Amino acid sequence: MRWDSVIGLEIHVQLSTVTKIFSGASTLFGAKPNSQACAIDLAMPGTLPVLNSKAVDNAIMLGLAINAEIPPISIFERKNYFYPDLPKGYQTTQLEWPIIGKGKVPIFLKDGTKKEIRIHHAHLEEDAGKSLHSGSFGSGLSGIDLNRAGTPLIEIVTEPDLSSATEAVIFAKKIHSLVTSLGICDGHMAEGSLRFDVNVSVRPNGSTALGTRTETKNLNSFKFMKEAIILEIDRQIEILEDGGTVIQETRLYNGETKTGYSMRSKEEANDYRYFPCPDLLPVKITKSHVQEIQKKLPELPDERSIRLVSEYGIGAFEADILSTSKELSNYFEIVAGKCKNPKQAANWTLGELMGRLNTANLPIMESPVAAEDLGVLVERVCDHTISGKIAKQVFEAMWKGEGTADVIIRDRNLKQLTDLKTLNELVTSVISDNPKMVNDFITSGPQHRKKKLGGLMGQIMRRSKGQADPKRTNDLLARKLCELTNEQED
Amino acid sequence: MKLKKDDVTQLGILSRLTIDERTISDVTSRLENVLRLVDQLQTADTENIEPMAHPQQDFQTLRKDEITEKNDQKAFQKLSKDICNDLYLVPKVIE
Repeated sequence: MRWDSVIGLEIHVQLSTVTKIFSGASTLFGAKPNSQACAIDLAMPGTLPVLNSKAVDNAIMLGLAINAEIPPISIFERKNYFYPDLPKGYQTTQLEWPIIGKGKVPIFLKDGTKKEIRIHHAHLEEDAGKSLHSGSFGSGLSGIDLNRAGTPLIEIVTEPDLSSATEAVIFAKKIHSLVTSLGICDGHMAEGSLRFDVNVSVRPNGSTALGTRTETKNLNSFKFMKEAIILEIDRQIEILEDGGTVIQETRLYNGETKTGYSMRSKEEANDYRYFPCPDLLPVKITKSHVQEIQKKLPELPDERSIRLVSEYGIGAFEADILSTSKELSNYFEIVAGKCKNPKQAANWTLGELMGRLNTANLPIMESPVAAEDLGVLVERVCDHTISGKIAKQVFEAMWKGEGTADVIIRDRNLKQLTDLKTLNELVTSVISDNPKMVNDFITSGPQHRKKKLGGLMGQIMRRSKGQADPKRTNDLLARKLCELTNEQED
Repeated sequence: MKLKKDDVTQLGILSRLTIDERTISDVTSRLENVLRLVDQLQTADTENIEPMAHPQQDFQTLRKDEITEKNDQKAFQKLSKDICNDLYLVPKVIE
């Protein structure tokens, strides 16, 4: 039987405000434990929360960016549960009157199709502290650091519109790109600035009824998110194919052991008993305030992507990835401007460059190869000074800081052989030195000739140290072999 | 309203409180007292009364995103029984 998977996401976005959502304590990451937890964060008796205006403005910015409704009134509620890293015994959050209503976020799939993911709502809430379960304090105890308690979060809740792990990752990256472009979140996933909960269910291919879903919580990297979703889909299909039933439950994923497991029932038995928080009055958002914020919005990834497609004629999928950050699209635009070949510029930026940056875990701003320099390298490929293959070697040397493209090409004598006379001599010499390979070509059927020709091309490239212009050489060689074949047949 | 023993045990789990055989009847009768008060409130006629989110008919005041709190960690941690490496220590809560 074939199965379809149905996926929805809950994304916790940590806002990059200077202070907490309800107190004037610092939110700086990495401070000494409990040095940034004030009386309000610690829920000392007599304290009262006062809402941070920046958190509200950040939420409005997000709302505008995801084409969402921004209701005039929103209300904070108390979500009651008991856990030591939540000093008040409840989380101040929103439920029925969230700050952001329904919205939608378009994503582009690899085949270029556009898919719209509906946003159910997004709400403001406070983060909890951190529990450390191992340390010098001995077993049987947990250590609590409340620095993070009260850090502002926006939780974005999608409709179950995603149908594969790949789509979920594309969407998650889109949100990452949106919130970092807006400047409302630093996007540092390793520090927990963006965390994902994934709701997964499966149903028989073509069916419209939803299956029972599970929620895997707290995934803090795209890689783990993808792995966790694939694992959960497989697990549910296996249960159903064995005649079992999927239980609705909360699960966790261990990225190191690549395993998923159910959270204990006690953790789940919570009945949150939501009610409007008497300490906070309803929040009013006026139309004029929303308009003011709208005017100040930076160029958003989608607008950038549309501009890149129309200005440079590159594909929507490439444009979408290039638009994930302003720095990346700026880089691409410099490369494209320099080499005058946007498609090649996109290929090089997304392929060679991003590949190396990802491996080295470097942001684009810290690329050892400057955009202008990559532009020159791509230009040398486009004007046939060097082949694509040699260009990769040159890029490697540029990456190591061994000089600019032109200097490396000159010093290492890497210039492509394009002169027809030289290429002709090269082809002739290889043909006369390899009679067996030539004979194989002539006597083989037409369907095998491409492979045989490839063998001879290999010889030529070796002899020219990879410098023969592949296209011209290939044409020459094909023509010569064709002549020889005709002679033989005559 | 009469409470069942299971309800009280479940409430104990939710609030991480040990309610054992010795205390359960006492806790139950006190909770029933609270619920009696709720029942009394329920009898009030609220027909044609518009619900309100807050008794004060006003809106939330916002503050600027500026640090106003200084680090009072020492004073706060004096109130706690167990501190180790700046962390508050509590009985381990995960299995």
